Amino acid sequence: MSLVHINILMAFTMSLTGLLMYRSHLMSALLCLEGMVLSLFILATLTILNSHFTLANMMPIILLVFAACEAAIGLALLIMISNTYGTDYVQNLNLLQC
Amino acid sequence: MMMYIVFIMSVIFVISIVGVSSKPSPIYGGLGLIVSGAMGCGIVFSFGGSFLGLMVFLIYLGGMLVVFGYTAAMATEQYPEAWISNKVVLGGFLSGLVVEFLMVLYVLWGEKVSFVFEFNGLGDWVIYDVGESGVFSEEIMGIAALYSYGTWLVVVTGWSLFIGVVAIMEITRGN
Repeated sequence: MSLVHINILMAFTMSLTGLLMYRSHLMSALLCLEGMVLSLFILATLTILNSHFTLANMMPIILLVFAACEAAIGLALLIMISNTYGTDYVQNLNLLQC
Repeated sequence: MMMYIVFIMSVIFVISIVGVSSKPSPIYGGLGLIVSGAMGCGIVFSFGGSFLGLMVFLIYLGGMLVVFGYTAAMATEQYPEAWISNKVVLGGFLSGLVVEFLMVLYVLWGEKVSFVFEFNGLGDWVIYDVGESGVFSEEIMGIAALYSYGTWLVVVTGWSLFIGVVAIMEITRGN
């Protein structure tokens, strides 16, 4: 393992922390999710390139495909929320009162 | 100093991810993701993965982040908050920077960090060698194997993208 791996893991942890603590916009949570996926991609690519595991080089591409699906569905939900309430503030999502 | 360029790029990667995660207005978060995507691409280039690095630029920044940018421009407010215009965002950003620099100083002071794995600074210079690979780049051959050994992966990802499009059309149908 090298020092670069520590920084990428730190970036993943910071993004996870940012995802779990809301501020006003829902879009910021989706951007933190994208940060997590990017740091996972970089971490997987570095590990696979460093250990010369040739066949696993296709795994980050597959990860990116599924991350694109997830981002698209998240954005579609954000659009419908923005259509209903006018903005994407998380304080509007108060139908579940418990 | 040129020897440590990969480490410096990874530090800038973490700083811009902290800038996204301290949650300014979403358009500035997108800007932070662009910088971190560029730095991540540079790190992957330095490890010899040119195809996967360019894939970050093309698919991730050029595809996904452009869509995020358009959506953020659609749902934005009149006075977007930057990192310096709001004390909460600035405090989050500075505390993330402090944690990152404490970690960097701890790593540079002792040569070894042992958390679950053992990270050491010498790992930057050790390259595992499993024999020669000839004239072909291993990474390109591995990705090209997506279409021979990984046919089922292609079928599954293609089908899931198609179902994703159908799901989005159902979500945005409204009424």
